Amino acid sequence: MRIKFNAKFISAIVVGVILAFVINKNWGGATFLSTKNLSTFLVVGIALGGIYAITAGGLVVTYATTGIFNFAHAAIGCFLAFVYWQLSVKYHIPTLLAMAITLLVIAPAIGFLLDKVLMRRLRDASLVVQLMATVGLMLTFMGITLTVWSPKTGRTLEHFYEQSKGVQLGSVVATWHRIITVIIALLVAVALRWLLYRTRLGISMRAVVDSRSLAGLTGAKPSIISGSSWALGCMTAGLAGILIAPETGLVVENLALIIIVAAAAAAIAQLKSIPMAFVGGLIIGLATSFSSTFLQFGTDWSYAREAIPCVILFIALLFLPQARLETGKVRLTKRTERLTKPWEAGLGGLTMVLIVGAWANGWIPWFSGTNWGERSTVWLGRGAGFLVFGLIMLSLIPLIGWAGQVSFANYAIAGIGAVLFSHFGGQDGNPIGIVFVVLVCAPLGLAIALPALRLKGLYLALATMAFAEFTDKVLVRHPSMLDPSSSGVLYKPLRILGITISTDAADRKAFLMFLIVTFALLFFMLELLRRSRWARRWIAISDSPAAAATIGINLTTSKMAVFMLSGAMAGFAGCMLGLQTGALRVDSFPMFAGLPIVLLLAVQGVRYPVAAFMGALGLASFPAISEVFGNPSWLTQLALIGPGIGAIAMAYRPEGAVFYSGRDLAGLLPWRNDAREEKALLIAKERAENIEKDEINGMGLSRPFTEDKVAQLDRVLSITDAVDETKMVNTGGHS
Amino acid sequence: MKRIRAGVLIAALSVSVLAVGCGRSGSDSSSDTTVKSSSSAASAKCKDAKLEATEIGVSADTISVEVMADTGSPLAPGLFQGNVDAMMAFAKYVNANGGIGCRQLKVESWDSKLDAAESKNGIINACKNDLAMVGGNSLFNPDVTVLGNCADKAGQPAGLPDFAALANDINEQCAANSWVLQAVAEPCTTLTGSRTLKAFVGQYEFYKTLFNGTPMKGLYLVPGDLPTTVQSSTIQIEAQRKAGITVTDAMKVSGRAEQSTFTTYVQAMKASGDNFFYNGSNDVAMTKMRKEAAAQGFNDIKVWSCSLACYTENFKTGGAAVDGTYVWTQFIPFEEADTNAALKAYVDALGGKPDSFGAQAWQAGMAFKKAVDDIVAAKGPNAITRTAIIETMKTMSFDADGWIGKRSAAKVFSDCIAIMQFKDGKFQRVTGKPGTLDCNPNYVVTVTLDPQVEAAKIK
Amino acid sequence: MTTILETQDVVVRFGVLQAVSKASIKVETGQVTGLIGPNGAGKTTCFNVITGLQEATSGKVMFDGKDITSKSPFKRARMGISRTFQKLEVFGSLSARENILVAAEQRRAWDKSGFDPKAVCDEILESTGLTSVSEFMVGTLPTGTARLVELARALASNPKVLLLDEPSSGLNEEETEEMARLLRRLVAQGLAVLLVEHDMSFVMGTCEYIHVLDFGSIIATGTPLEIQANPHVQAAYLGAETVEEAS
Repeated sequence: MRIKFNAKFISAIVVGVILAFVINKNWGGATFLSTKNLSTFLVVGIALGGIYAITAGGLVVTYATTGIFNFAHAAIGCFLAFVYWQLSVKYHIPTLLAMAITLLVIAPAIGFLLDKVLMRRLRDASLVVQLMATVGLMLTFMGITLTVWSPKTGRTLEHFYEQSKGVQLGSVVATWHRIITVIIALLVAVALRWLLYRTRLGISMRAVVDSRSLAGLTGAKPSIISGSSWALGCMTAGLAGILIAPETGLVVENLALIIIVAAAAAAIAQLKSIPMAFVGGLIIGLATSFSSTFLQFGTDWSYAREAIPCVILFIALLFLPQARLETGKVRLTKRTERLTKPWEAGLGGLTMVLIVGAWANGWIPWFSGTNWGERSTVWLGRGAGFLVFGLIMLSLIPLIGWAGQVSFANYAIAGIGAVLFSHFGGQDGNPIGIVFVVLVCAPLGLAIALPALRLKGLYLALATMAFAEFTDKVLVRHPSMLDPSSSGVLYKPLRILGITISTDAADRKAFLMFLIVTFALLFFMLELLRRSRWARRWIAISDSPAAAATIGINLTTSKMAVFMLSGAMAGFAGCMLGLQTGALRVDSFPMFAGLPIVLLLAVQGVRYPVAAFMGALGLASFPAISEVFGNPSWLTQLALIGPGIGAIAMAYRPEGAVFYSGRDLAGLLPWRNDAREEKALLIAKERAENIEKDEINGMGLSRPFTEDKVAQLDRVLSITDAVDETKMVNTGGHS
Repeated sequence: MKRIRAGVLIAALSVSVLAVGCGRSGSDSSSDTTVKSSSSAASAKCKDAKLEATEIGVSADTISVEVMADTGSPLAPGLFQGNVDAMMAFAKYVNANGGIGCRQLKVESWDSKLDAAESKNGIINACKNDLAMVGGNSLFNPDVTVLGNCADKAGQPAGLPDFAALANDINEQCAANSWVLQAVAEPCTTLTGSRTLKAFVGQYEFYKTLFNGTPMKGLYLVPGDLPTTVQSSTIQIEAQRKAGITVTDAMKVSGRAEQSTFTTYVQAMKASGDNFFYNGSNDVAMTKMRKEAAAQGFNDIKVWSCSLACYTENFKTGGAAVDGTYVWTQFIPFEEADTNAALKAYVDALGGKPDSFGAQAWQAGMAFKKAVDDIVAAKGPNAITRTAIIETMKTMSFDADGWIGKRSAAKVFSDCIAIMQFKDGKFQRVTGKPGTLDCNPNYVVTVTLDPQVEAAKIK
Repeated sequence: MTTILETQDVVVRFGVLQAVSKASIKVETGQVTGLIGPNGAGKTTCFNVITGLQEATSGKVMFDGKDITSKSPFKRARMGISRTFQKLEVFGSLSARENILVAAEQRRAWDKSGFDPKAVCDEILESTGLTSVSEFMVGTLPTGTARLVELARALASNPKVLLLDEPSSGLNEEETEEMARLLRRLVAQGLAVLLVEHDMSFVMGTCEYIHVLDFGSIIATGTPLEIQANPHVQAAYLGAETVEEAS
């Protein structure tokens, strides 16, 4: 048997060596081959694995039947678990009936509703919009759950058969609930696989993903099919939630964040194979329990255990097949855009500076509590914070907006930048530290993307999420980064260009002005960059990777360049972030904190530098409005649901608010006939498209969906799968 | 947008292990009359006074204070809302009972959002608008310089008094102008390396009596989500050892851990033949621990103990599974509201729904009021300034009319305790008489260690 | 006239389906070569193999005497192979001018003759008749015009071989004739063109040499006249009955 010495083989060896090294170094001293330890390891591992496997299975089946990676999967499951609790514990409805209502009535209803309102619009949308919408959906579900069931009261969901003694395996008891969970996970995996590959419904579901019109023509009714796919997804999510909640507790955070682990297991399954999703879940469960039974990490890496899922995700990505260059992304969306001229950009930047300057000096009347002519210290500090987030948003524009590379890692990069700056420059108020940080964060931005540069955009997004999680759990917590004993302010006041920057009241206005001037300069630079050949190349890669390659663009090096630029800008933003907050803690940069930044930018318009300014204003609006209403608590709930709904609305306004309002505003100007005409054209075109879509969706009613049609679809699908698996010419060593 | 881990909450609750001290059993009369007399002396002075605006936050008819707490983090909404609710209720109570310093009390709330910048903003805001900060609880409050240099009405950097309900951040704990109800283990002079720290061991002395001479061997469950909580646990672990308990294992638990992971702890306890368990984490962890032990058929633990963190309504919902768990407080329990007027006032004001965060906020309010009353009694209602309050803080001693043990500016541990056991759905008192606290100087010990080094040894 | 591009026994298999079976195609400079066949015959797959977007299961691709079978797509483009796509693959977010400009600018990576990309761009806009729409976002242009932009973009790379996948799709009679004239001009300057088309009159009128693909195999090659007379070709397009009728 000849082993192919290709990249995958080498990766496997390298990964194996590193793992062996890590295990050896951190061995906790327990004997491996003892019944006690082995049985603990296996029973705990499989119990955890069962939980992850169910969630991952549902995630994979959703992706396979809808083409959309549903970040909200675990959050929907969480919501359904609470519904089940409400029915079975609060209303004392018998268990089976409550489960039936939750899983067979409410879950499918949610699925069909989601499909009708949101998912249909997402199918043809770009990856950015799809991801933003599902992340927004996740936040919305979490917010709704927290609102309806306030976390102040505790709730418990009993395990199934909690009172019965479980099964003794070695020196460990496997409780019935956990055994049931694993068995159900296995059954679900088998059932779903059978459904997808052996039944008419399943084959139609898969067909609808690959070719909606083809499916319609052969007799499957696409609209019902896609609704069923989402119903199925929600049902599996709910089942997972009900089984998991007794183990994790009915806590929104615990339940919804399982999505990270599920994503890792789904990556192992390469988002295709449900049996592999089951295996993937087991692998992660066993890896976690292996580390808690046999490994002991020293203080430097004491949180490494929590990073296991994201490390596994990275490793899984190494073994994914390289993506074919995508074709067919062109959507003739009939909109016009003029390139911003340099003088316009300069004027824009100047306007921003003037607006913020006027605000900082109190010349713009606020709603409440201001003295005319004096902006309060508190708001000056907050303003700086919003601008720092605006800087992070600016860093995302070339990356996501132009090059189409969706990344959730920039907040983490900014975090690392802030931490690094606290060591270099933060200790002596020296601006040289900023340069150093920027120079480190540029290649860092690149390093994050390396494993996924040649993979589908979705995997890149997942890789960046994994990196953000890894940063939070491992990197930032290493004592040489943030000393756990250190507390208090980490940054000496920075002296730059004659001004002093710190969190002190006296320095805040100057800091704010420094930030807006820097922001305006970067904004101007980006607008100029948009007119350059770099941006053209990136946009070409985003619009049609295949065509870009055929005109000689080296996609890999181009992408590397934009990741470095984005990383550098994020690093700079990080220095400013550190200076603005003054103090950092090991948990200051959770992965989830980075999501709303991307969301808010995307809602405004991820391709337009001005959207970063609008995004910063958007961030400012929450506390501002809150202050107007006297800081009521219901507004806090809204703070969570709000961005979520905004992101979902993106499905209807995929270009971003800046684009639509820019066009609408232009239409108001009397000399912009072209804007009005174009808007009318677009509306007419959309109407025509929707009619067409409805026709396709409704197709199949009068055609019998016969056995041989099913077989035909099945054959086409298996060929499509095979096509996906054959590679583009390997750019491995030769590019 | 900050996310809070349950671990951060555990941080709060585990530090509240160092909660309020206690009053002496039986011999409270003298302190009672001191409090009462200063209060009545104060009201006497109000009758003929011509009130002036003497300080920022003190006008002719109102005294304003600010309660700063983490209430608005989107993923943990209402975390310390209890503090705010309690302070608002306290203001209502005070205003209905003669006011404070001859004036009405006004409380403004500030949401520190688990964010360092907002915490600093809160202090800046209080500096600008209020006489003092009272009843607050902000987990992330590292920059308290404004507490030290806040300008008063006359423009002098007199500082801002801070009567915190709970000060979790070491910077706030060690600040000169903060008066904390809980004790501070750290010497505050050095914060690194091997040093002598204080610890409270009252609960262990009681548990030892339950064992009747049998050696105690136990597992200590450490809240693992933040390095600071791990380090503060090392102090407690050392204290356990000093009290004669063999700590066979100290293991970290994450706030997000599934119940299956607790199997590992059960296995450890089985292997060591443990008969004792101490939970340094929160009520959710305790519930999972007990359920998993039961599921594994492990019944050798004689004493399941937890801190104030388990003294919650949430914990009660665990029902039979957590029956028998011991908890301890350093204030008179809510169940004994009828035995203490101050406690009763609090419980009634909150409509019968008390919680430990709110209780501590109310106590902080009372401490603040005492400072004001002392000033008025000595120098009259126009002597209320920040400087005066800071002066009074330094020498004041306070026990919330017997509700808690004696507290002072020294921030030392109170040596009083009330231990309860959760039995038949209720918390039932097992030490001392209802309405009293069990106090003994031997309950406070010193230990010498380097917490950072010890933290590295925890699994 | 030399053979500049050649596939040798290329086979492409997708699972059970043999999409292309031992296809050997030659393309000469100064000539328009046609590649025709019924729907699903494998023509676009051949294009994908030649340009590197699809890995061949076996067989070789030779360009200018060199074996490029394992070279990545962008490397092949830099050697001088350009293409257009059956389904429009324009850069919809860029203007027509920018589409061409990207290609021209990219050409500087391998063409060190010091040309001015902007001048090249203007030239091509002229010769393809696109100057009037140059500032429009390609996404707003009608399909036929957008196809022209794609062709213009392919030309901006100054290729040695141009692969056109159904270039006349969406064009009317007049536009198709314009394109045919353009191709003739380019070919006269030494360019080699491989053309996939369904418009038979366009094919027969423009190509000097034609390969016919059916079910992945080459069933006929020759001049237009030879192809038109070939009974197998007729059968492939019209069905097996015709062969029986003819014989």
